[in-house]
Amino acid sequence: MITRRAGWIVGALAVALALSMIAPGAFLALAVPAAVVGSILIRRRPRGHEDGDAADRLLAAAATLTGERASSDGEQVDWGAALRAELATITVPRERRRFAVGAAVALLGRPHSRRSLVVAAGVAVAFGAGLLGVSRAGLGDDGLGSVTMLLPPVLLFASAYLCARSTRSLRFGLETGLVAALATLVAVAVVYGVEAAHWYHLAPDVSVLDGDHVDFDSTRAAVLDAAHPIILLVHLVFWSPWPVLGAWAGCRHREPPPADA
Amino acid sequence: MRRSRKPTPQTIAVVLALADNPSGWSHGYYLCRQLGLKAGTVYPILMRLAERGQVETAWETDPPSGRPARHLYRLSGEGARFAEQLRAAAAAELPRASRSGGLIRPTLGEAF
Repeated sequence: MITRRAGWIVGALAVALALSMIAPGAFLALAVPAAVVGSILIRRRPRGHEDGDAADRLLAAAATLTGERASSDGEQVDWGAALRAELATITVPRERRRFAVGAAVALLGRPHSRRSLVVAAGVAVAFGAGLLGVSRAGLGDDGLGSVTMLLPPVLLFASAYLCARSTRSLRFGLETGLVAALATLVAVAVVYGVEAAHWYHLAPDVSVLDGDHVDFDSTRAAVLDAAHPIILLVHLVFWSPWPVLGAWAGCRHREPPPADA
Repeated sequence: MRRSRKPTPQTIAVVLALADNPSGWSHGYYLCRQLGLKAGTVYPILMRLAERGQVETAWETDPPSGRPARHLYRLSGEGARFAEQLRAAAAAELPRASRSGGLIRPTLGEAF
């Protein structure tokens, strides 16, 4: 078993090394949240489940990610503990796997999404409106690119942090932060498109992305330059660690799980 | 404001299974087996019913050594009224289906 695990580690390191040489920025942006989530799952795995089977580990991971705990007044049920306790009564391996998969789906699919959508929409609309205001005030020398690259990580971190901390739920923080990232990306695409067209009529040779002089031959070319899918993808990759880190930081304020839960 | 939706056949089945055991508590896995439903179906229903106050939950008080206490479920007073409404609606539905010549399929929830 140790040999197999060592093989996985060596393989992962080799892939990481290759990726870091090909695209270091993208590698860092993806590796940081993956490492954070991995460390959360390892460090917060409930006691008594270290030697469990695959079903046990799956359900423990889902319970850890969802992360709700019973409130002191008993109003909030610890569904993760309830499902793990139920799994402990099932002995047939196939039944255990089936139950664990269904239970994990039940835990991960709990309806936080409406609140997540509201918060995410609020973040996206606020940022979009602010970006529009900045653009109309003047592009300056740097265009809008520095704003759209640097400000959303702060907003995404803050929204994920506050949501995770207020609800004591890692999943709610993650869900809100990641949905907010996607919604903000849509807002950025829309504002870039609108503003590229707007500035093309005022100053046809200025890029809204970086304020550089570029010869656009049409409004369409100016819009595509700003709201290009690759540009948007780079934004998303750059932003993605921050909601994960925010949710993780928000969850660190929670109480430790009960020993026998 | 809570939206009122028509309950799914699976929700009806869970509520009526709990109603059939009014004095005692049921386990989630027992409900899965009794109704032939997956945990991914039964537990979201139990979670919703608990959040609406239609199901009461409790932890087993004296579990056998070697395993943790199980989580138990039973209908609350509001849940019992909900079950009665479902039975009444099903009773009103049955003669109508018979008159129209429609088949009453023996699938989950249809019998209720």
